[in-house]
Amino acid sequence: MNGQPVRPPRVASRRLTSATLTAGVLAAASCFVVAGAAEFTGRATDPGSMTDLAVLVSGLWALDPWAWASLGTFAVVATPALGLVATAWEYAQAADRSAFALALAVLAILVLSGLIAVLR
Amino acid sequence: MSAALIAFVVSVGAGGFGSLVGIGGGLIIVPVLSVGLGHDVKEAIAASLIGVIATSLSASPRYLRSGLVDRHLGLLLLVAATLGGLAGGLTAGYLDERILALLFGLLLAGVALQMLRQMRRPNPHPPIDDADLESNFTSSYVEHESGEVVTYRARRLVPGAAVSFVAGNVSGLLGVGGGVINVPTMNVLMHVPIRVATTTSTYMLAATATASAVVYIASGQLDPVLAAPVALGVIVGARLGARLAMRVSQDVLRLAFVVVAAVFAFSMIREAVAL
Repeated sequence: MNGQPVRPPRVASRRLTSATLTAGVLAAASCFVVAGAAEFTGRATDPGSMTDLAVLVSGLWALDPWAWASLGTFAVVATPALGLVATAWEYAQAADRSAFALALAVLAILVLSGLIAVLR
Repeated sequence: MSAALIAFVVSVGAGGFGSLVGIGGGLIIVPVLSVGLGHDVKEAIAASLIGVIATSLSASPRYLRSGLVDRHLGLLLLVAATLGGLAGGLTAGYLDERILALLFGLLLAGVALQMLRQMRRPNPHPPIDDADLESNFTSSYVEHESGEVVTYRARRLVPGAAVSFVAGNVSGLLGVGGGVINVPTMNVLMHVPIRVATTTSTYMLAATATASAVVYIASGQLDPVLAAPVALGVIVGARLGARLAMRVSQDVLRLAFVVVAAVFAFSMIREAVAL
């Protein structure tokens, strides 16, 4: 170390990523609580395809536990991607190009996963 | 007690322990849902992946705010891990489960032994020199117990990324977080302190599991009514685990990891041989 002071690292804020993940998990948990409450009160459930948007929307309106559980699941799956968008923005603000590129690369792979899954 | 309530209670425990040692809880959730509650194995894996993501999402904000997550390193490893997760999700069902179980059991046993050796013969992290300070993968954190600032440099990035690909693949195939591989890889192979390795692994789990979870959703193998109590349970458990993680010593974390890895290694090898 030669007695020299340690170079301060380039620090990107973590607040936006942290807030995004927290918001996502709270949204998902809220949907799951609604699903649990609807099931507990004996609401009829009509499982359909999670990728059928019309069935999902009508199920949400009818307080179908399956539909609310599906919405919560979508919130869970979407949150990591939104977190990566927030991370990329934070690194862009800190002018940390390598970390910015890494965040975008991971985001691109997640988008690719979604596309492959749907088109398969 | 209803099946949903049992799944919830088990998931609280799995989520708490998972976030504490950075493994995501899938190692506990999958066998309980399939063997204990009689769900189809693929449904159990898909529900577990949603639980793994929820564990990571629930614990990561606290870890990020405390500065314990090495985000730069985590993103580098995530490039490989998410590709592995996607490959795992796509190939699930085409591979012989017995061989996978056997290999995974052996891997777990090896990990447990390696971590045990590290406990008995601690290997201090290599000293940091001037060249290290220029690296993007030199970082530091404040040790909660002592207040000491610990500076380290992640080493062997390419082998580490290669192992992360395998961890992502295992995650997609078996519905586990992949932390059981990531934590020792970062700690033993890459010389990252165990506390940073566990928190960074937890941070990585969400994106890794998402890459394969979308494949399960699109193929209709995910039952959201099963995933809901699992995810809710691990969210509650992971919050408790994340609070505890700041206060538990590194040796306790290491020992807990060794015990869990050894137990599951034994049960997986036994299952593989018995099939």
